[in-house]
Amino acid sequence: MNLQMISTQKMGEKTMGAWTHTVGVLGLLWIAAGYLGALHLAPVRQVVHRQIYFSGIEALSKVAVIAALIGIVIITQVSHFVGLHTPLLQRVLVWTVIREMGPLIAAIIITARSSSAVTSELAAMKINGEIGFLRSMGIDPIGYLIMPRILGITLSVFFLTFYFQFVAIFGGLLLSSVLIDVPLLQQLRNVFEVLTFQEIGVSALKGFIFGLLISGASCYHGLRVRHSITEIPQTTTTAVMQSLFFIFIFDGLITVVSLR
Amino acid sequence: MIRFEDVAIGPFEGLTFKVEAGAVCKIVTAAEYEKEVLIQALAGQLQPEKGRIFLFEKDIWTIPEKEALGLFQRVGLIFGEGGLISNLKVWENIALPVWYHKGVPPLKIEARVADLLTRLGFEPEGLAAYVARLPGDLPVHEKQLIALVRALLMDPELMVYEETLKQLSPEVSSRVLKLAQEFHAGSAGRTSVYISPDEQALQDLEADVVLRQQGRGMVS
Repeated sequence: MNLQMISTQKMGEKTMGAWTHTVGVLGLLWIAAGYLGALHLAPVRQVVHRQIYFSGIEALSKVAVIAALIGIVIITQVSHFVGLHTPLLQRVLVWTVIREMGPLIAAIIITARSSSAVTSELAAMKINGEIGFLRSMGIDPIGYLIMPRILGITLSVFFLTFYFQFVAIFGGLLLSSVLIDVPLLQQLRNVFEVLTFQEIGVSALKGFIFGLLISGASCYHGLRVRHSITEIPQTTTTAVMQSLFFIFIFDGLITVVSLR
Repeated sequence: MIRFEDVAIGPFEGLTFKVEAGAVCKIVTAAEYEKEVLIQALAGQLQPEKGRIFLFEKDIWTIPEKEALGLFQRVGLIFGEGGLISNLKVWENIALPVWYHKGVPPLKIEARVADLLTRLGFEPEGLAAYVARLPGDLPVHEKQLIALVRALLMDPELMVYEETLKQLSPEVSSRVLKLAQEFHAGSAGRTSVYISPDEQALQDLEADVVLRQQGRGMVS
């Protein structure tokens, strides 16, 4: 086999692998949705609360800092090109933060913090036989381990998206009110004039879908390991990369469809 | 209660045996590996290549998953390594099945857990700090004791002990044996199965049935 054939074969294998993983993630999300009824059990709700705490609440401070800095950077950049005394300043802030940055950055932060953590945790549990131990106690691993993590991460991304948008816009406006004479309330009014329900809806949809895909990929790759502890870092890297791919692909798709 | 019908799994071939409800049974395997295979088969973690495994007269590999999980609720499995969940604290491990299946919150089982742990030789003063630890901090024999307490709280019809008595000091071993025997006698129809490759470790145990591995099968 020559080099070209080998590389073509490898490309084919990788494409098939990516397709298999995508189907696997969507399949796992579908199966986990069937276990939402397990939320009536207190220990399952406890897992959801913990996931929200680790993925959402513990990320609040970091998201706030990043959001405020991004708001300030956008105002500084835009004012450099269009000047300070124009309503376009607030409009660009709203368009970039609500439509793109909010859902994207919240999803990327959760991917960096929680995707790797959940994947490696589940992978270690599987290799140690703990998923089998749960089953031998009559506890369904999907209902107790997977569904609550998917729900917790999805809710975290959803709410962190709005939190990010609020802090970024407020941070940006605060800076521009210091730089120009227009009072903060006037600027807020400009923001609400630009903001539409469609923009908020699209942003919410992105947050929700990103959350599902990140959590689905993390859990799927965590459960994919078989025997060896050396599989854990490999599967964690794959989960993070696939989450990022999902985020950017679906961000593009939703943006294109929503703007048509 | 337990029935293996012509099972081919790992080193076993044509494995056929039965443990009746209410019996105390010792199963002595040839080595560690055979014991592992047998316990995994009973826990529904290893599917036989051939034959059928019955628990409570139900074939665990042909019934729907939900029904199989329902059967495992009725079994207390004490794995050699304890079988604890590593990211849950000791008290969470103890409370998990009884909270999950019976809806009994951890606070309501506190007194019973303290009583059982004290009977197993734990000092009552240090219990609060002890149960707040993670399983990774505990030696293997203590993980087994925690698994025993966890299983007893579920009041199972079938208890399966994997080498529970082997890694313990003679004093703790006799405490465990006493507790296990009391539990067995506590209600008619409770079945206890002890699996070990070391017959010496089970010598203090009076059993109704003793199964010993012979070749690739089991004889009584």
